[in-house]
Amino acid sequence: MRVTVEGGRLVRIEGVPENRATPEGPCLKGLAYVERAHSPQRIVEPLRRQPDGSFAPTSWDEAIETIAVQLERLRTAHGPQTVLYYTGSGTKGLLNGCGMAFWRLFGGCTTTYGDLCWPAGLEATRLTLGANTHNAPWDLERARLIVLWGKNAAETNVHQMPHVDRAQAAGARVVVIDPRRTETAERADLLAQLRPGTDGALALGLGHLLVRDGHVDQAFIERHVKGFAEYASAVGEWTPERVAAITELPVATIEALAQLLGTVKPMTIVPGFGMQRFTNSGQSMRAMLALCAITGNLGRPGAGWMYANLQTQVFSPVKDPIDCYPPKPADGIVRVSLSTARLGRDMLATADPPLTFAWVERGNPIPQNPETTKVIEGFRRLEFRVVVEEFLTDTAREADVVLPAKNLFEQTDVIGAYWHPYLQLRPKVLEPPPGVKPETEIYRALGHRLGLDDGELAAALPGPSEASIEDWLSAKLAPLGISLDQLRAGPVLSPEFEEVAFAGDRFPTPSGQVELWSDEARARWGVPELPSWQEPGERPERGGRFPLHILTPNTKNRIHSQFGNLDTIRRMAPAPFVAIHPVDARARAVREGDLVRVFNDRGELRLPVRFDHGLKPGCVAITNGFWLTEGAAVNLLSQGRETDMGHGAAFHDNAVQVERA
Amino acid sequence: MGARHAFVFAPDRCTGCEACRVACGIENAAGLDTGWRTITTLNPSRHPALPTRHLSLACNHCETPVCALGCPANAYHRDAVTGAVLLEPDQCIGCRYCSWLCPYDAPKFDAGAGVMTKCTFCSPRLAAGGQPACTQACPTGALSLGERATCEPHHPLLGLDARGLGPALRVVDPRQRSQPGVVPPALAIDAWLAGGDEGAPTQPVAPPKIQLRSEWTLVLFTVVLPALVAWLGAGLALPDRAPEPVAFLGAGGLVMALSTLHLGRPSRAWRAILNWRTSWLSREALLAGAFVGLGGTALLAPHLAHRWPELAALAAGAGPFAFVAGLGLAVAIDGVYAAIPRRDRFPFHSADAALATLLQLGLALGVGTVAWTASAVTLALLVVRVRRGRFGLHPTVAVVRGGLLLAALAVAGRGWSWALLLAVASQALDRCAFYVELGPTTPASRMADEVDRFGRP
Repeated sequence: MRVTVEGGRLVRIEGVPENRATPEGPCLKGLAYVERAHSPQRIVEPLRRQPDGSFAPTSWDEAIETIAVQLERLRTAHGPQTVLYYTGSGTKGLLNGCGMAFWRLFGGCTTTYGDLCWPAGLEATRLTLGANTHNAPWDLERARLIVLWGKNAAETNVHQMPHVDRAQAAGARVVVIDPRRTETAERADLLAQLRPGTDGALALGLGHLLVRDGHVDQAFIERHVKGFAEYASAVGEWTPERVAAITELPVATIEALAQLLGTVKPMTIVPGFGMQRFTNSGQSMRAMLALCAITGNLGRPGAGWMYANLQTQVFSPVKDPIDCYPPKPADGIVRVSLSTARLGRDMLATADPPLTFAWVERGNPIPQNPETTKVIEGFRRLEFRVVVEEFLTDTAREADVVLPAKNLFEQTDVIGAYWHPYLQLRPKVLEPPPGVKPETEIYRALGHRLGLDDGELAAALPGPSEASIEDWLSAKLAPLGISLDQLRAGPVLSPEFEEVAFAGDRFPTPSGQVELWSDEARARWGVPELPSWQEPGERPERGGRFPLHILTPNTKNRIHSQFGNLDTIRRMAPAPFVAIHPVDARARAVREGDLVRVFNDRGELRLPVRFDHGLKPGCVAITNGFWLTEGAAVNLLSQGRETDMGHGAAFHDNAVQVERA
Repeated sequence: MGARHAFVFAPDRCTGCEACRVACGIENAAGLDTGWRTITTLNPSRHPALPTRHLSLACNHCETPVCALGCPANAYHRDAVTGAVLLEPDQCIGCRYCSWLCPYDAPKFDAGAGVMTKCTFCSPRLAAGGQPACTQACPTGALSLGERATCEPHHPLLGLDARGLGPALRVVDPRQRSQPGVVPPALAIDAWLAGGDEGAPTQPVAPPKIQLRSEWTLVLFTVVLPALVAWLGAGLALPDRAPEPVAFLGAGGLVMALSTLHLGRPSRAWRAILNWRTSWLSREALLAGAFVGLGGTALLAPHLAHRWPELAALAAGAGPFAFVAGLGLAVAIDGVYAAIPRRDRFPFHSADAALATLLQLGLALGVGTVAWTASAVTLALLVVRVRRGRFGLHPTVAVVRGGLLLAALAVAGRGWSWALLLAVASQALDRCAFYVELGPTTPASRMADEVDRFGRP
């Protein structure tokens, strides 16, 4: 992004053509930063909870003193691991690593493993291909078949759409597999609206047809695929009729999909994140990956599996997703013992020492982690809570002290990406408001007050000056051969960048081949060595108490719980609603606009109904990210469960009922 | 000269993300919503029979800028460098007529300021060699800046209206995918055909811009003044039928004064006569003033005669001029509304002012051929409207309207004043209906009409 600042205010945000993946304008959220950076709702001074539950401004000195007193008391009583250090994926940057460095100096802490976002897919990819990397974003234009599998790029990755469009202009076919007729699906030649959670079954069924019809790349398989014979035998039972019964797709659609996959090359599968948030997801994603492998659509231009590109995550000593797993052995300082997916339950169950203090930054776990009521219970059970935030979120509202957070324009940092291969400088362009300190300064002040060693603090944290931050960043960048000056000139391709991933058919798996058969899958996760499918742990039962599947997709208007509080966004999406197919609505005597209860045994939401003819009947949808204070926090309905691999959150195993309120 | 540049819109690429709209607000209103650019979505509930598409529109800076030509206050001008059609808020009287004329619904009313406001094409950015904020911001390349096209923009089901205005808008043809342009994704339509219980597609549409509730002063204006023209005309021929000057001036002055209430800036009402060269609304204002002023003068003449005989003679001479101005006024009233893009493209209406003036003149004068001919035309137009169904008139209203008119004809032999009163009442009812159904059309309403037609067997 290129920003214009006039008179200390951000007045304009524009795209940067030098980034080949996103040469056009920023998305809506990017534009909304013009408001967000200066929002009157922003927290611009420390807040202290009052006995009546309200918040009152307090000075930094008092805030730090209050926090330090509690930290010292609780560390003395229980040891440092009584502190929960929880971070989400808000404002990204290299400096975020300073937080954990601080807590190590403090003596340790307890933290989470796993991730809400995408780990089942990451792990499935790592097991199969050996690494999470993919062809350059613009390489998609060379595909002749694009399978957007559970991905609504038009809303969640809008910059991918021009690449899809150019591929289509050159004659590519586009298939969308999604229970919803999404904005992306409008561009599709074929939309397969399957039952949620049955993607793996569909993939195995497609594998069955590809093997049956001989639409496999025998030469590629012989040289580069491990376990094809076992796979070919295992998919034998996944006949189109059986798959149709499971997925609720017509046999003809399954056949048509297989025909496209088997005959149109090169093919890129672009999976989304949603369908890897079921209890069966890792194995499902492996089944989908197998389709790229057996058709030889890997390591070629226009072909591949465009899931996650960790080429720019060059700073992790161990690359995702492994660094989401508990370290083995535990180092005795940091206790990595809470599953992000079961945050509330695990917080309540933690003993020796129990958790008494929480420090939350860059995240809003109360509405966003599964099973919101348990997360709230977990936080309320604590003795003291500190939340570092830009806005008074649901989580900040539970805090004893809220510390104002900088925004991404107020401290220089270096950022990577999920999808494009560029490292980019995020220079400081705004002075933070007078009462706002960057996290590095918060930690320094707290460290001084706690009497931590000055030398060690100085080593862990960059100094407050711009020069000091730049020195710190330069030192981190030096091993990669990248300088800040290069980054100042524009986006820099990651040293690991490859236009075509796995070119030369080098797959960094244990066998050096694409592993349809993975011994590690069995050893690490206890799942079958081959891709497999079973029903998700929770599924709607027709005629049962909770017969509807609830989908909680993302919208173009927000990134999860961020941005929805801004007027810019509210003008477009003023209030939450539940989308329902008219057929399901009629069965419940519900009319458009009626207020309904969406509920299961875990919770209930009361929302107005909007008809969506494009939703698969049997599903309802509420976009995720609304706050409790808006009355539509969808995780009131979900349960804390892990995915079958990667310690992801399986909050999409979720059945509800809808009734007129 | 029109704008050199044009907005180029590719519906295939637009995801309806609204970044263009947000960017417009950031550039032109410090982050607030200018309202200048709107995104209209076809089939937002994703009915399986139709695709879902978006249309992002602001001002198209037309070669024939009906907004500027119709603006009575000369508040519009064309930027000499960029060719953008610009509105000067200081000169705007807030009559909203430009927003009724524009088939793209580009000029917006700023209720706070009481004036119109509209897209400037980001003229300063264009002049500096840049591009508008909206095209710059579009993340998908759906909206861009390009060269003008020679043909009118068109796209199936997007509610665009080719009226030969030469808009600076090019709409890229839909790409031929495996289905033709207006077919939704393959599987959804199969499910629909198999299930068949989704009902016909419907398209939500905002209430029309012109509402009887807010425009009742205009109903009064367009009913009372033509009636006064007829009455004055009769009085010129048959002096015993001449209106009382107090009644004439009172009624005429009152409806003119009331009509300024619908202005956002009534204090600038005088500006309404500035653009008589091209604006029917300006002509209407000018002729209304002339008619009431001259008519009142003429009617006052007998009362002046005993004190200022010369002045009275001069004043009496104003009568014919007032009548001619009045006839012109009736024509101008119809001119004002004929220019509006109405849902029903039928150019004649049973509540037309000129027709009503003739009819009422015939009744007031007792000239049966005129009264009967005009009535016959009125009733025929009424029948046409009833038969045109969804754009038309409720049959009950038509029956009452027709009944009142026939009653006026029936009593014409016994007393001209009752006949005139009944005819005016009949006209008033029809004129109310006229405003209810006026619209004017917008891209959204035309989209709804297209969907409606699509849903019919």
